[in-house]
Amino acid sequence: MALAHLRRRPGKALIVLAGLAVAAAIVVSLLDMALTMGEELSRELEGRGARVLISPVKQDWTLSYSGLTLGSASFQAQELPVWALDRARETHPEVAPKLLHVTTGPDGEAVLAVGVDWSEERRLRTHWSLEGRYPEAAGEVLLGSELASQWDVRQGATIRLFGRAYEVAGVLDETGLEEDGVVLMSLTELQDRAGRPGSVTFIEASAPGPAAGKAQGELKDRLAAALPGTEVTLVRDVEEARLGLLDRIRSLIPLTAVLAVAAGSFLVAAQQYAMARERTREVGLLRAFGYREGHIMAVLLTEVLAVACAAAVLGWSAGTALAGALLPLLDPASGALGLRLDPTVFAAVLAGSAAVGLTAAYWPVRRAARTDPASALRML
Amino acid sequence: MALIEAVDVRKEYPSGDGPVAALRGVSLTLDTGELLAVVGPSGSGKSTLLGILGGLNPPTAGSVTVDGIDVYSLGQDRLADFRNEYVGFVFQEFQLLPYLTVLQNVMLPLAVTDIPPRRQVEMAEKALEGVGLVGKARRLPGQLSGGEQERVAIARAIVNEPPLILADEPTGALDSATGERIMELFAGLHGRGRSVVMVTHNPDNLRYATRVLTMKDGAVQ
Repeated sequence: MALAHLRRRPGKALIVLAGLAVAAAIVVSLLDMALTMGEELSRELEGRGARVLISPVKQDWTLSYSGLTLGSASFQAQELPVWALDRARETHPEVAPKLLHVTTGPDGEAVLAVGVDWSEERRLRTHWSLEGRYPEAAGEVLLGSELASQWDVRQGATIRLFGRAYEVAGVLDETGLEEDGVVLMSLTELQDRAGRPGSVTFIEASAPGPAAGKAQGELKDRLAAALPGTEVTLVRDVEEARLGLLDRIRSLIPLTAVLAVAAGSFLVAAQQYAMARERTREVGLLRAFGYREGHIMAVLLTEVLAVACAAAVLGWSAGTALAGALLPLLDPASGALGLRLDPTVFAAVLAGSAAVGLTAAYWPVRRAARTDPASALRML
Repeated sequence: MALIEAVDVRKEYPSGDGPVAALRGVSLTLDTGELLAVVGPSGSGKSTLLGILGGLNPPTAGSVTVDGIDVYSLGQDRLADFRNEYVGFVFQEFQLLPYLTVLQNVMLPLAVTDIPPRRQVEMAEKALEGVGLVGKARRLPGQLSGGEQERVAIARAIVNEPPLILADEPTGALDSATGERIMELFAGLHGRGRSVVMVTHNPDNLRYATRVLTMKDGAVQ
């Protein structure tokens, strides 16, 4: 009976359906984005482990790589002391030295080349994925996804840097970070081509594993003590910026949920009060046929429940799609994970929508169920 | 054997000028199998009496006993059960739910019983067969003529085989030929042992009644 009424006389129920669905969609999209970002950040932080950056004391940075902001014209003059790498290795075995050098790209534009020790780098960047393979020879490079797209090259292509040809061994999948816009190549090759033999711009030290967060402080202190005259910092700025965004999204969820519940409740209650007025005769008729108050409430609340459940399904679908569309714009690294189809979120939205609908409808429905049948049927 | 015994039934409604008496001490007895026609001018209390006999409208004073049950001593839920089990209503203007099919309308009184759904359908189809509408079970009320809608209302009133049928102006919205056919249906119900109380304005309907009760100003004449 309840479903027959909705099917043939949807009327105001459609407004309630739309209102609840929009409210659910907003909550779901925020929840999805927060969960996806949280998951991606945990994965990334876990993959990177504790990272400590050892750099020259004074810098004039304007480009950035790996949490270090750098790249002005004066930047290439900044280097670590020659003993720094050996001292760092003595203090902590897992260190990845890097040379940053601004060079000229194939189209004459400035491009940041990063020289790395591939074995150390691969140990540090366990979260990287790429199309192709890591470079094995001096004449091979790895391109960031954005740069590869800008130059319109893929794995196996040849590019010209420093006046010679390099083969693109692989292209990094989009990370949403600075890696997307750089050329990565062998450290010694870059040192030779840049005319900076033995130079290292900075060193990253890592202690991967679940205890990484706790280990960060200790590692930083040990390296700072062993490397006087250098700047030893925890590399968290990138993660912190993303964690900040995540926190902002998370902080919106309770407020949005409260607003969604309030708006949904108002819509349902208003529609049910209107229903109680419009369906007086119908309720009186049912009472005349022997329907108890409980029977009538069950019929009317079933209608509300059906609308609330349909709204939850629509809202969840729309919210999931919305999160899928917004996340790549807000946080490309998390956006790259794609649509999140979380049964727990679906169950929560379904239960929430049903609870809002039934709670808001309870009093108006109870009032309707108590309609005096004689007056409703004009038998006075 | 008396099915209904109403004793000194009074009904007053509050108004700005003090209570207004709709019934002034009506007493009546209805035997099983009787077809009682209640006639009288508008405002004489006919429909009020019908509502009180059917357990819809508690009297201000007096008592109503149906099949030995003191109707208004029952609590709300038991009173609802009483209406479902003992009374079949046929209202003015049919009162069919427009969004339900003919079959679903007829099944309405059965939906709150313990009868299995399949049996409910069989009972509704049998009731429709009794009023000659078995072929229109899947239609909506709006697709039927006035006479057909009235027959659906009668099928709904008899579907759970209550001993008492209360009909309020059952032919009021029908032309005379259709009204005649409807009255024959009521005569058939009464012929099969059901008790019928029918409020009517139409003098042609009185020839089907076993007894006529005339009311005026809330009292039996």
